[in-house]
Amino acid sequence: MKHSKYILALVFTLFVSLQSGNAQQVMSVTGTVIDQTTRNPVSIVVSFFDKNNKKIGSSKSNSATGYYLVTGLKQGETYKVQLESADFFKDEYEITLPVSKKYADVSRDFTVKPLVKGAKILLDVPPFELKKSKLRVGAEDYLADIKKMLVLNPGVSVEIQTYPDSEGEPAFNEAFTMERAQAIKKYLVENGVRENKLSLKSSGQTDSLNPPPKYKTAKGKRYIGPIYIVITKV
Amino acid sequence: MKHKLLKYIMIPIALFAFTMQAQQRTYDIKTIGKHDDEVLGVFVNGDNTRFATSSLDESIKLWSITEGKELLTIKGHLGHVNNISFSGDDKSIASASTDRTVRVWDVETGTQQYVLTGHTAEVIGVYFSPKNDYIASTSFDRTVKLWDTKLRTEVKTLRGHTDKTNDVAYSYDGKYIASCSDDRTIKIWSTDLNTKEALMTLTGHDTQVLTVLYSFDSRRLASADEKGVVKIWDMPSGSLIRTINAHNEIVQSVSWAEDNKTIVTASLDKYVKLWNSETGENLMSMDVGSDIWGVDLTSSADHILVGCADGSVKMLVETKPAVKGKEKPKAKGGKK
Repeated sequence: MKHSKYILALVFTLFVSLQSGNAQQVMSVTGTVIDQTTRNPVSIVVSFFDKNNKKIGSSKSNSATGYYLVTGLKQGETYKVQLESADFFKDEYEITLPVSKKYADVSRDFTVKPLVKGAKILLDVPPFELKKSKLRVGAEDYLADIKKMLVLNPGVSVEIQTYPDSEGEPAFNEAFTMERAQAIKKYLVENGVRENKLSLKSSGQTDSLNPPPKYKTAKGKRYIGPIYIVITKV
Repeated sequence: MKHKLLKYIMIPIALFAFTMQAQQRTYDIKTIGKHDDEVLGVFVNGDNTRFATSSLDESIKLWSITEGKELLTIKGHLGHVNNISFSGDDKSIASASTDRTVRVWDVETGTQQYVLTGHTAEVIGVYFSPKNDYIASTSFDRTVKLWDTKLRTEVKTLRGHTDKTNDVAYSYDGKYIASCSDDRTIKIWSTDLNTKEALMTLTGHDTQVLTVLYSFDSRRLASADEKGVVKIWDMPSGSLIRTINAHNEIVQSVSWAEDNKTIVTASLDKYVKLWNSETGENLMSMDVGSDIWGVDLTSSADHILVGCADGSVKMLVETKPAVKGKEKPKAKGGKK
C-alpha cells in the first residue's frame, strides 16, 4: 500500500514533466533569402520578434546559398520577421508556426530588394491585364509589397517605369503606359507613400531588355509589358 | 500439306491485322462549355465522374463527365489559375496561381478551405499526395514546396533547379516527387521530409521541360517539352525508354490511362494525340481547331477532356471502344 502511493506519485511526476516538455518543444524556421532582381542568394540578418517585440532569435543567411536557420521558436506563436542589411531594403513579414510534434522545423523563403541607386525591381506579377491600364482586381496584394518597401524606408525615392505589351504606334503606347504608371502612383499615394518620392516614366517602345516573345510561350509566361520600380535616391 | 502451311501463314497475318485495328481508337468531339479566357489546366477526378478546368480568367470550373455539362464556377484567386489537382478522395481541389498562392477548395460548394502562401513567384504546378496529407507545388521561384494539408503550413522546400520550375507530380506509391524545369532537367525527390537533395536528375530534353507525370504503377514517368518532344522514363531507375516526337509545338500536358501504357498528349499545334508508350505507336490524332494547354482522360481513355486557348472546353468521346484482353481497370484516387 505504501509502495503504491510512491508509484502513483512517480507516475504523476513523470506525466507532468512530459507535458511540460511538450509545451517547451521548440521549433526552427529554415529557408533562403534571395535578391528579388537577380534571384541570387544574399547574406542578410533574419531576426524573429515575438508579440512583445522581443527578439527571440536571429541568423545571418549564407552569402553563397542564402540559407538561414532560426531556432528556439515556440509552436503556435506568431512572429514578426525582420530582414536587415545595409545593401538591401529593410523588410518585415509575419509568420505563425504550426502546433505539431511532427516537425522540428518549417520552411520559409524571403526575397529582398537591393538598396542601390539605379536598381531596377521588376514587378514579377503584373498588376494589369493585357492591354488594360486599370489596376486589376487583387493588384493591391502585389503593390502592397512596394508600398511596404517605401513606407519602411522613407528616405528612398523611386521612378515607376512602364513598357507596352506589344509594338505599336509609339504615341499611343506612350500614353497607354503613362496611364499604367499613374494608376500605380495613385495606389501608392492613397496608401501612405509621399507623392514627392515618386516619379513616372512611360515608354512608347517595348522593353529592349525584356522584349515580347517572337514565338508562342509556355504556360504562365504570357507577356505583359514590364513594369519596373527604379531606385532614384537612397 | 500445302493447305496446312497456308494456315500457319494466314493465322499470324490475321492476328497482326486484328491487333493493328484494335490499337486505333476513334473519338467524337464536342464543345461542352467555355471559360472567359484561355483554359490552362484540366484534371479528371478519381472516379472518372467529374473534371476540373482552370483558366487565365482566374476561375476554376467543375464539369460532369457523364452529363457533359458545367456544374460549378469557383472564384477567389487574384491571378491566372495555372493548374489544378483533385485530392485522392475527390473532396478537394488544389489550385496554383500567378497570385503566388496555392488555394484549396471544397468540391461540392466551391468554397475556399485555405490558402497556402510562401512561394516568392507565381505558382505554376500543384499536386496532391496520394494520401492527401501533403500538397506539392512548384513555382517560377525555382523551388518545389511541400505543404502539410492538416497544419496548412509549408514544411519542406526542395531546391536544386537552376531555372523556373514548370510542373510537379507525385508517384502513386507516394515515395517520390518529380519536377521539371526551364533548366531542361527533371529532378526526382524523396517524399521523406529529412531528404532535401534530389535523388536523381534526368537529362535528355534539349529544351525547357514543361510537364511530368507518373504512371499509375509508378514505374513510368512521362515528360514533355517546348519542342513537342515526349519522353518515357523507367522509374525508379531513371533510364530513358523512349522518345516520341509527338507534336510540332509546345506540349504543356500529358496524362496516363490506367493501363500504364496509353498516354494522351496535347499541344499548341492544336492536336490531341493518343500513344502507346511502350511501342511509340500513335493510336489517335485529332485537330481540335485551337491551341491546347491542358488535357486529361478517364481511366480507360474512353473520354478525353481538352482545355483550349480559345477558352473552350472540349470532350472527346470514344466511338469504337478499344478491343482489350482485360477488364476495364478500376479508378484510383488522386489520379491525374
